[in-house]
Amino acid sequence: MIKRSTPIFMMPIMIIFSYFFLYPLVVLMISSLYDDHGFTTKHYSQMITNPYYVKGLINSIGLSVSVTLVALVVSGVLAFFLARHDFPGKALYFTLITFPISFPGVVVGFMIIILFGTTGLVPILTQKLTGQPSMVFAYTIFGIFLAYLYFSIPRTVMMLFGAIKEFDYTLEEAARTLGANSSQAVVHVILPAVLPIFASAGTLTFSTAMSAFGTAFTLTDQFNILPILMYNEFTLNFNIEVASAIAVVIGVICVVMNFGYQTFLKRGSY
Amino acid sequence: MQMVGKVLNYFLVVIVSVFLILPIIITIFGSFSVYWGTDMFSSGTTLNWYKEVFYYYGNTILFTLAISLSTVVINVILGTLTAYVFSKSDHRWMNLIEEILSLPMAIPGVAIALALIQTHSMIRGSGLLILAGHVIFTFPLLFRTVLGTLRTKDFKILDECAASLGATPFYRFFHVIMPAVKSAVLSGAIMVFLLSLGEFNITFFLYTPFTMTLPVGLFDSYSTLRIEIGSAFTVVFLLLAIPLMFTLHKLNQSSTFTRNGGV
Amino acid sequence: MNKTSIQIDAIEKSFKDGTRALQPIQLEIEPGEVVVLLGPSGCGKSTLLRIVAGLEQPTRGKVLFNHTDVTGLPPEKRDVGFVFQQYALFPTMTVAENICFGMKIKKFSKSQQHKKLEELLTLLNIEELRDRRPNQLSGGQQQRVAIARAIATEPKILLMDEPLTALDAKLKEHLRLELAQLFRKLNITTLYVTHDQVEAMAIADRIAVMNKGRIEQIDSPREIYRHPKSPFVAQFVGQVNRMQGKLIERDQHKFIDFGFVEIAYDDDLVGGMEDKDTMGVEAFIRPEDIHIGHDHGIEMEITEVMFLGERIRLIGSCNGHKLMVDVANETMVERGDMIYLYVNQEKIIFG
Repeated sequence: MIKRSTPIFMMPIMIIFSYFFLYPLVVLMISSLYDDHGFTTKHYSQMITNPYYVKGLINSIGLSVSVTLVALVVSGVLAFFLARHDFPGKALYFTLITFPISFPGVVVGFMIIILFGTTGLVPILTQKLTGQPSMVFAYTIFGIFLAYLYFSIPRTVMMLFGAIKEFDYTLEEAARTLGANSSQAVVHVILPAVLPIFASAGTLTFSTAMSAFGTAFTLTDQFNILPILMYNEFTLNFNIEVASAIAVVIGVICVVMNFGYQTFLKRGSY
Repeated sequence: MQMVGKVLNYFLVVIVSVFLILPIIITIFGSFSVYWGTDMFSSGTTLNWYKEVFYYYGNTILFTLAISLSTVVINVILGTLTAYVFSKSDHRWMNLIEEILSLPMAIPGVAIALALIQTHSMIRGSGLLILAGHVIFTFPLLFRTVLGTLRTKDFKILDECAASLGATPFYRFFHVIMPAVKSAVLSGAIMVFLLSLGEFNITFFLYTPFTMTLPVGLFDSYSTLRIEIGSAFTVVFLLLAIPLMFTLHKLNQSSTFTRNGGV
Repeated sequence: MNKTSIQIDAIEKSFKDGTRALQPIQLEIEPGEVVVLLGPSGCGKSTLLRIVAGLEQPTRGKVLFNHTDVTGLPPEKRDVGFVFQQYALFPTMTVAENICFGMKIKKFSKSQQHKKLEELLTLLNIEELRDRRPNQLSGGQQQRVAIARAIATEPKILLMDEPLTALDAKLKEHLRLELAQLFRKLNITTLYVTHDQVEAMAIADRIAVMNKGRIEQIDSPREIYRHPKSPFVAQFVGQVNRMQGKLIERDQHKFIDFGFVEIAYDDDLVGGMEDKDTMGVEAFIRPEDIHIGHDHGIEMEITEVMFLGERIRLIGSCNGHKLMVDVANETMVERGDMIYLYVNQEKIIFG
């Protein structure tokens, strides 16, 4: 039922979107293909030829992959635990655990500074125990890794918990009446069924980690990952074309991952 | 063997919970201490840091609230209208347009920011560019939330039933549809507000010293000011965000609120 | 194959909030017997079944297989086959993989598995479904696969939890017959749960009618229908007309006056069933035990005629009392007609 009025009602949003979103993106992509001399693809080719950029790419991907894997495992354990155990204050606990989802990256970085910065909790504790402060991780790659975990785990726990809670437990009961013990039931029946949800949570986590900027930037502006690389090209070198190219690369990776997420989400409902 | 597994299980749960929750608590406490060091409260407690936060960043906070509220209002109107149009039409192109309208959530904030800077730098000074960025970035969330509700079977049945009882489309819009989507719109609005409140990656490229938002201010305080002020400012943010997040949980829509990007 | 008997010994179940799902249940099931637990929702039949399976623990009491206590055993050690109401087929596996699951866990050899799989696919008429996934099957097909899966490892006991409830009427009828035949073939001790009394009577060797956590009567289908031992059983299994009567005395003879009909007091039939204070008697008569007389009898004005296919159900009013009467489907009657009825007094059920 297509009403005549439909196109009119769609006008405002299409105008705003085109002017403030689609058009700028097109400009971004175009500028990434130009330099002072005209059309060129060198900004893209240097992503794989220039060792500095390659390092940035590898660091970003490596960081995102490792954070995703660890987050999935940890969140899986946590989500299963929460789905199968009841304890007083569970609702409050769940709210607290998922609260970091609303944090901007800078706050996440700050949380890591609170724990592992120069006057952080852990160094203070180690100082009390050993006399010397240690484990000042905040400004190292390990600190960044922990920070990325800090924003990833609440998101993945929330996504996984939703799916695991909905899980049909009669499947597990069926497996047990057929002779499987608890762990066999988990391995043969539950895990295969929740795999799609893990896959979709994983792709979303990966894409969030790839595009994260504020988190790492709060801890250090020196770490070589794509978003910070892009920032430096833009603000320090005034190289807007190179920055655009990097932005497009990050963007493409994330969009591809998001499509993966959608597909896995659809497959999740058999 | 099973016992070891169980113990490890519990251990992991405890460690992760502490990891996530402890820093928040420390921040809250630290914001009241006179001196942040090995003995946190040895020098006493104070509200001074909060005074400093409002001194340095009072305007920032106000500006942020203005931007976020405007974003919510604009998106509620645009989003609901668009969602309604979508739910009524079956056009082939609609799928494609829906994907396009959802794109901002998939594209990294830094890319959006860089794109906006190259095309609309003239409105940067007024802060309107920040508003535009926020509206675009948060639109998909409210749009999809409302659309999701409109597409459910229950809603369709309600609408058809009202139609069969003789209600005109106009009447139905105000008396059947609006009330039904109220809760979806409310959750969407809260999510948009939270998203806009915490938006950093885009805003960081678009701000000027006069148009700083709260997260940019937080960054500023972390890098230039004392940790005590930083924690006090963080607590201010928490005070804004906690009640909203809590309401969202109550409304049960929080599972859709998994932000992509913005960290 | 050695058949297993089941002993349910003083099983009780109460939940944390205090609700008593099962009062002490005592039940003995003979080897190879098909016993149906029949009752309305909430009567505890599924709970009892799950306790026998080991999926739930009783608050008190014991479950024994062949007089061996299995109460402490988890479900995977009890060697029972369980068919769930919602089938619970593993969505990530094909039909063949579902059926072989139990055999795989119990480490049957590949050839054994293959042989059994073929046997079951043929037995349940699902050969062409072997490589399909559960979401590609209809309800009836899923149910057959669920049954095949449950009996693949030749368990000692078969437990079925309302397996036909989710299917439509025609399919139910068809599968009911298949199930009855299957049970004869398998000769396995079976405990079957349903709320459908027609289903229960069709397949059971014995029916245990349950209500509010207790077994009200356990008997063969015929006995349950003909001689229900309580008002609940009478009303739950088959249709009944409920009658309130009063014991009266006239000319030295005792009668029971039901308002629209009077019958002579028979010690054997009624024997002390009357309420000592009010002299009231409660009784039931099934619609098929009231017949159309020709010129005399109880007068009834027909208010509804329901053509049910194999018979006609007449609803009418006698002296202000509402009655349900089943008659042959060729009977020519219409709404508004007055007819004469007589009651087959031997079939009156007193409770």
